Amino acid sequence: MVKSVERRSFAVVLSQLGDIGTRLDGMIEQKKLDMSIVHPLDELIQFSQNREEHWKTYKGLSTKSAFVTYHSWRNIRLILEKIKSRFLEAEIRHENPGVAIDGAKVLGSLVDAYTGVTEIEGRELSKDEQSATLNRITELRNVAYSCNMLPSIDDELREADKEAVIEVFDNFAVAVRSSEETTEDSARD
Amino acid sequence: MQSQSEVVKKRLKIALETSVIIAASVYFVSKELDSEKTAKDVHYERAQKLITELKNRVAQRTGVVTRTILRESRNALRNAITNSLEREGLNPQNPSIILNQCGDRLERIVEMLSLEPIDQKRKDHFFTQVVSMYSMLLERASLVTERTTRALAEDRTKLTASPRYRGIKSELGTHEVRQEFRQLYNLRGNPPTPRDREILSELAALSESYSAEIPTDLYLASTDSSHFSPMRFPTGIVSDQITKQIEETFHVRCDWPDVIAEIVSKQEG
Repeated sequence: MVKSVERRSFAVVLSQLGDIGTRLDGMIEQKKLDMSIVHPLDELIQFSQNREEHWKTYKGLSTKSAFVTYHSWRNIRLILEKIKSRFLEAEIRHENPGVAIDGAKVLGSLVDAYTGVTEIEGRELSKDEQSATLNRITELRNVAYSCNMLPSIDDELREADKEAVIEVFDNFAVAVRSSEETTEDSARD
Repeated sequence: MQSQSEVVKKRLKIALETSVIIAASVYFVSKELDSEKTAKDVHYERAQKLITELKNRVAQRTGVVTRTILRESRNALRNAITNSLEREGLNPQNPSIILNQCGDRLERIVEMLSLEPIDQKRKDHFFTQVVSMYSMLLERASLVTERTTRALAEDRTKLTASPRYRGIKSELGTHEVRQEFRQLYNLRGNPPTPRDREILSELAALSESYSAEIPTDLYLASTDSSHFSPMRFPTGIVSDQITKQIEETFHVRCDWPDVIAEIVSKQEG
């Protein structure tokens, strides 16, 4: 099991998410932004990033199980960062707390994703578990998309080497294509 | 006499198979990434053409998908990514980005399709028919051998070529006959998976329920020419024994996404 990085108890992180939820509800009720939300968001971002970094290089599990865990933490972190950046932008533009409504909508899926990843973290995953975990991430991203809380492709590329991403993508596209060409000639004119 | 305006125009429904959904998702991401290599790949462009047509017809609910195809598409994309991870080494960041982007595109495509409910009893009913149909086709495929191919080519040559050129004509003819029966021949080495059978039985049930409402043409857009779409050779020869049998038995027309895109674009409204 994981010992090398900080492992807060499940209840502590859940309580932090609950605290963020309470602050969001308060903003919606009072129709006023409260930027004190940035600090707890930062804490959770840092925590998720630590988990993500741990699973990025962890070799004690199969590649697929470690990837599903890494991918989950990475998405949780990316969406928390997006929520934070939306708040910072809203403050600069003196916007009304529509961002708090969006944040509250996304929070439920974030809690689901968080509980899902903590349930499976540190062990080999069956295909069903991999699928269920990735389904939660898909749901999280779908909800984030509908609330304008989804990081853009540029947000994701900013922290990567774009040329390397394209190279992996092109190899992936070739593999997808060849897996579909199940016959010796796919025969299209 | 019935005037042209009184002729009943059939409703058009287009079901997308996993291969098309994934290909279109990959195409759109290739554009965003400025990956010229993949964006110019004709395989991906074909899928994109159909998605663009269906995007203009969301209100008519022309594009449809079933729960099995949706589940299969998500899983196939994820499997392709995790398999690439094993090829690319251990840094999971780039595959994670690609999974997010292709996955998002897939979700946006699915959002413009109607998720159709399937009557499980009818699906089970058609499943047995699908199994029987492929068994019959496999039996027919076993007759496509080198000997029968040559014999058929020679028979045709006798009717069309003078004795002097029969040798050359026969060789050419054998090549053509091989292409003509390629779809059937390939079935032997690549029989349908349980997933292929399940998808076809769902579409058969869907075709039946559509036609019970109003006359409908149901197409399945697929790049799988082993089990669904016809094989089209640059010579102009089309091998479509399986495709035709599916249409005859289940009233589902299978074809490539760009071909179906043309059909959609020509239909008014």
